[in-house]
Amino acid sequence: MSIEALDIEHRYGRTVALDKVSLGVRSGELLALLGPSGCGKTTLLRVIAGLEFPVAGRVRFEGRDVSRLGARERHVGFMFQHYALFRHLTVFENVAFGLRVRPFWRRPKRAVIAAKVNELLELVQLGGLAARYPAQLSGGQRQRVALARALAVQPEILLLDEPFGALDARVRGELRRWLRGLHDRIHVTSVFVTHDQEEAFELADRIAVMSAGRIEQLADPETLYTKPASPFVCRFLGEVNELPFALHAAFTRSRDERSTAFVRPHDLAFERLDADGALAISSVRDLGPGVRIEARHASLARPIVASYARERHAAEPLRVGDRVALAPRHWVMFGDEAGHS
Amino acid sequence: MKRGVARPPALRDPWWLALPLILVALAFAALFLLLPLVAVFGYAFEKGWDVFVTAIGDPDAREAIRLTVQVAAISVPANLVFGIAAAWLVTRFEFRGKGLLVSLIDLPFAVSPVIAGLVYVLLFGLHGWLGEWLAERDIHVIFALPGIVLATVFVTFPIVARELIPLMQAQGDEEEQAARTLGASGFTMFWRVTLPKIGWGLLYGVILCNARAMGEFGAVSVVSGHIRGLTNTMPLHVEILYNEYQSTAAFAVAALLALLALVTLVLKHAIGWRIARTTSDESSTEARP
Amino acid sequence: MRIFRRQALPGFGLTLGLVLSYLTLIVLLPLAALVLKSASIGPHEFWAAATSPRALAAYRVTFGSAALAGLVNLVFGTLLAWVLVRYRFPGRGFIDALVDLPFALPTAVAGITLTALYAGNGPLGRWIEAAGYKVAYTPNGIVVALVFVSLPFIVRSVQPVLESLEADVEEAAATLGAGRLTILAKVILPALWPAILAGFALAFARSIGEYGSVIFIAGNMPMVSEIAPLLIVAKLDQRDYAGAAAIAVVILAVSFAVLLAINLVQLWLVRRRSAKAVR
Repeated sequence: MSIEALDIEHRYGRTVALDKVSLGVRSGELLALLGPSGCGKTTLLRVIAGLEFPVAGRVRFEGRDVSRLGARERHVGFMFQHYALFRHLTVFENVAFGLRVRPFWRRPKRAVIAAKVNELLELVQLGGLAARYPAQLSGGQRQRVALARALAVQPEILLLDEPFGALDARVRGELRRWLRGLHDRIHVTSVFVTHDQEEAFELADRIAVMSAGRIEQLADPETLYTKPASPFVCRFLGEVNELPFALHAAFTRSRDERSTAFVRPHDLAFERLDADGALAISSVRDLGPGVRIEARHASLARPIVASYARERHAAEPLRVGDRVALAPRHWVMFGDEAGHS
Repeated sequence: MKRGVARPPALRDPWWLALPLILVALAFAALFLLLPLVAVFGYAFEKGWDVFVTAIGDPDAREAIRLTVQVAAISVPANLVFGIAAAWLVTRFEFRGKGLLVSLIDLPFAVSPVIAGLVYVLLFGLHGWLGEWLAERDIHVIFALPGIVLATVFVTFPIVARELIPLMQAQGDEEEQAARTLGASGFTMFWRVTLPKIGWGLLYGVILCNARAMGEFGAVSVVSGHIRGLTNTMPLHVEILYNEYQSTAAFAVAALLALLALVTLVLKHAIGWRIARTTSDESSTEARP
Repeated sequence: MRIFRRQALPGFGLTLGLVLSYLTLIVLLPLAALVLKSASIGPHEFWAAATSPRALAAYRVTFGSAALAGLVNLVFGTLLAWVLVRYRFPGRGFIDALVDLPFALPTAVAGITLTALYAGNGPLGRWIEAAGYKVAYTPNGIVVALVFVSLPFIVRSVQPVLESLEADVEEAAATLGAGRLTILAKVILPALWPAILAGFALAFARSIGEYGSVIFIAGNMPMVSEIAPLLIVAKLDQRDYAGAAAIAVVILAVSFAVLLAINLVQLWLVRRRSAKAVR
């Protein structure tokens, strides 16, 4: 089932949470809403779920306008950041809840519910824990109960709010790959919110990068990384050197004096100069997998960073004090609005 | 819960400081708390068990007990419904004037019980705003059950809401939202999710509300008219007996009320402990394998 | 923010309607009737009724005893809270539970019991009168009753703040060479003040309206030991409704003013503290 959000506008008091946001999610895809905290990503997710009603804008599921429907009528699966498991119910009863609260003429028979719940618990690998209470589960187990509970009502849309936010790093990676595998099997249209770009890249088919209540860019991970639409996206997706005209003109051949070149550390190399130059190596640090090399320029507050593979650094070692020139393999140009700080 | 945490040795006060402080505090507590409690029962049983039983078995005393239970049976459920509605409204929605509403809910705590009775006399009494209209229709509010119930409801008005609001605020509303996304109707959500969540807190509020409702004196005294066997609640009956120098009988009825207070205290602490335990359960189970 | 926008959870209209109508019917309309009644007699009559010598004497007794009882509890209630939180001794849990007794014990029961204890032939009264003092049937009795009634307010408002005081702040002060008394004066008391003040105000507001526990022990002599709530009842018995309403309005106004003032002071204290923290 496809999702369309059109010109969604939302405010909390005077703060603008969503500023005329439009988003299209294709049927069956796994889409990430990525952005720093306070960018409106969770609000957008809640608007789609019918847990938040925007000041203006429409939400459509498969072309059907659901803007006026509440969460109860939208039939979406929603997984809350802290899971919101019913603390007074067992794992089994939690998962069965959505089936049991149906009006009696649409409610499955007891045995059918039990079979369905057990099947789901197997799916999320919690078969043996049906009789436990949420307080007796680990974070990762709770997360999977929450997922099973959301899936029990067979939603055609699954919305997940920071699904891995409350887990420690080790469990997180494991569950991430498991969730991707699950999605590949059941193909339910899914949207998840995250502030972790690594998570978004590993899981999502497409990623919407959000900032200050707007979507900056919606694209697949590769496009996002190689062709970021704005300096914000570029900066948000990882460390990047921002080179002013004076430093990038030599290799970009740009004539726009107000433009800035964005270069990732692994796309950058330093070439040693025999002559004197304005750029000098200021630090060389061995990080294990690679080597991080920094060079300083009198006009820049921060050093320019390059990351080298070990072999490469071994082949042509650089030392602190060496005079160097920039030799990037790949860069992205932005005009005036790049706004140096 | 910070209670019961042992202080590090560096901050433990020396015994010559701690001991006198403890003794002074204990003496104060014994004088003002323990002694009155013991005295109630002491005076009630001064002349033996039989005198006590006779005093309680007196028809007027029985009627007072019946009326007290009746008043509590009406006013506590009324305030229970109101308390839940108010707590739901205040903790689940944002709206203009919420702060003012919360202050207004607390308002009866700032009103003297005598004034709580007075306002109803001014409204429904024979010379009150609605007095004539009611008299023409032969409806009795003041010096009758409705007035006693109204005055009791007034003084116990905020108790349940006050217990529930902080509890529901702390619990948050995500579970209710989850119930909605799973298709639960408003009633189902309340019955299956909210009510089990707030159960203990609700019971806590009801117990406090009940104790206050059964023991209220000032407000009820103003509206009741002290008609023996008709509009006399237990606290009022205590007053009448005491003023008639039937001291032992007065203390016998008073001992019943004191027993109610003791039961209330025990339940209050048992439930308070339970609530504290379930809330700390929530926050301390993050790291289990 | 707008009232009529759709909300995520159900029941907004239902609960708002229920709460507003119940609040209006039970509390707001009756209180409005009181104010209207006192206004109906005109400002001169109102002033005369509210400031008659007997009324003035009743205010003096009421506010004076309430303040005195509040001060007693300010010292001993805070001490009790301190001892309950900081020290471990046998019976601590029992005393802690007993602090709520004045909340739970019906005021009339407290009234007759305290009277019996402090009367000239009572177990305490005998000693006191032998020493040449009188408590029961004098203004002193009012103070005793109010100390009992308002004790939990101060203890229960100081206790949680004491419990939440982090040990590390005191430890830090100790490592900086501060002695126990310095720590008490410079670290603990400043943190406790808002709670003590709030407890005092709540105790005071409760005390000026208190009726049941006081009337038995007070002796109720007009001009000497008659409290304002009793004067209201007396006026009611004489069918002087406007006079009763006038005194009620004065007491209400003082209660509200006290509670409003304490809210403002607490707000100010919190603000000042956070402003300091920012600096």
